[in-house]
Amino acid sequence: METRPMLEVTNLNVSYGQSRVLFGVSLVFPANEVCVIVGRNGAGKTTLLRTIAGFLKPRPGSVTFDGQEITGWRPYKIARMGVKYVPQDKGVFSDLTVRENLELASYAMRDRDWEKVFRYFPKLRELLNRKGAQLSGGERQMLMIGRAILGKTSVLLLDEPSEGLAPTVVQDLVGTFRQLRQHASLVLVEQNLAVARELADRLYLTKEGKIVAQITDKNEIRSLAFEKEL
Amino acid sequence: MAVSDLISTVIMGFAVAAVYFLLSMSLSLCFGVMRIVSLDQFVYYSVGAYMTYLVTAHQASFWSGLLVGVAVSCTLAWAIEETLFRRLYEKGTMFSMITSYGILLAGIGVIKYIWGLVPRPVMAPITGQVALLGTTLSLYRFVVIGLSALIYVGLQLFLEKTIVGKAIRAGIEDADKTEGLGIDIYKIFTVTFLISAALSALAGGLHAPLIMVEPEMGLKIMGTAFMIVIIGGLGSIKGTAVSSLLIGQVVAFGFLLWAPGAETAPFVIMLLVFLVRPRGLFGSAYLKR
Ligand SMILES: Nc1ncnc2c1ncn2[C@@H]1O[C@H](COP(=O)(O)OP(=O)(O)OP(=O)(O)O)[C@@H](O)[C@H]1O
Ligand SMILES: [Mg+2]
Repeated sequence: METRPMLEVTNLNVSYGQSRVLFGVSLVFPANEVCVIVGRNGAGKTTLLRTIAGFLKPRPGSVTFDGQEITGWRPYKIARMGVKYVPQDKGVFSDLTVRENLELASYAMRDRDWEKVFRYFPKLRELLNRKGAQLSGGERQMLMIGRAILGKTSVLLLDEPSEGLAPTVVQDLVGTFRQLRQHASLVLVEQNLAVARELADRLYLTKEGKIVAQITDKNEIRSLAFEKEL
Repeated sequence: MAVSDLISTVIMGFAVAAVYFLLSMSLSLCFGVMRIVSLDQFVYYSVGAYMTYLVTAHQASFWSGLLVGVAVSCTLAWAIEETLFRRLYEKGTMFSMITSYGILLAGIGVIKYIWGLVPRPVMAPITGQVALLGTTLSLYRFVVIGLSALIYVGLQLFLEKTIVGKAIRAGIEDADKTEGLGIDIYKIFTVTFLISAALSALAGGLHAPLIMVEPEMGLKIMGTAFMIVIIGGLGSIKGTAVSSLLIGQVVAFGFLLWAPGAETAPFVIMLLVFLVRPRGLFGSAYLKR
């Protein structure tokens, strides 16, 4: 029996000016599952996550979170509802310290429980006075996820979190995602297929702005050779 | 050149720089945070000046005139932000530029309608003189310099220490990411816009006793104010302060040495700075969009 999905997008169409990027995309993201979205560069994965997070408006299309339609909501409201977007470019605020980055998230989400953040990422505690610009790629990713889990977090939209990170750092991150999935649904855009295979309960393959395949069987995902599709 | 001329020029340069700083800071904040070119700031500058004129003409104190100027400008700015700019943030910079240019022209029209074309003098609130190395200088200039320095420090503290200030700094880097944290970025925009309008009004009010108050005073100072923002580097307070000091001296010495050159000298400085540092003196590499 299927439970009600945590997040659902229906017939999503998104354009940048005249150029259409998503064509009638429909997906479901069940609660406490890890859904991985794979697809070539330019397939529209970032566009999809940014639309769910409210930064782009679908025309037409709808996004439903926990049974409530959130299409067209301002991004800050969607974040406060518990749908958090962790962008692709590892963009922490370069001129702000780690502490200030966390303070802003605390202020916005009305949650000062930094211990929760440090449980996942103990290293951040030592980096509190470091400016964003001085962090390594892995540290930035920790801060981005750390500040995203403050306050209510039902869905984490993670845009290629392992991109550009050293293999050992990626392994740590996979461990973190295993823990995080106990508390939230993860929507993971991944080019790293090893990571995708390891974590995915459900896999969507995107191509040129459409969903071309959906696999919900874990064994099939583990054994799948979808490299050729990418 | 006499030493006394030199001293009085330097002090005048600092006083002018103090006014430039307040005005340029407001432009820099608006562009840095909202990515809008807010030409209507020059209306708030003029309103600040005219309110000191109006209030002192009714025998009330200059300082209350300054406060009235800030209050009127902020009210005006709030109404304009709510009704117009709200709709423009998502659009390109060009939209804000043209809209705010319209507001500036309309503002000048209203000022001409109310007060006419005749330039008006405003008495300095402090008439004392200071003797310095054989020359006497108006004390008011020092007051302007001191007040502007205080505002500089206050603004720095606000941006460094308060949560709203931190959100403004985050917004300067990337407004989308700031909103992604759950912060209502439009509230931050409104606060930034009101701070800017207050700074512009203070600039106008403090400038008034040093010049004549006239309808087109905003247009006159516009070019220099923008050059200061660009030389300093967009979104940088320190950069705006340094470049105000630089241009203040350049303008003051320009008038002392060869008056016609005073107007073009800032352009030359701007070009020189751009040859060496295209981002401006303190421009951030992190500015996006
Ligand atoms: N701001 C934009 N304006 C115009 N076109 C854009 C914009 N952003 C993305 N595109 C285009 O939309 C398409 C999808 O881009 P998107 O970034 O969503 O792809 P992606 O799957 O995330 O790619 P990648 O794997 O490189 O991150 C691409 O063709 C891209 O060129
Ligand atoms: Mg992408």
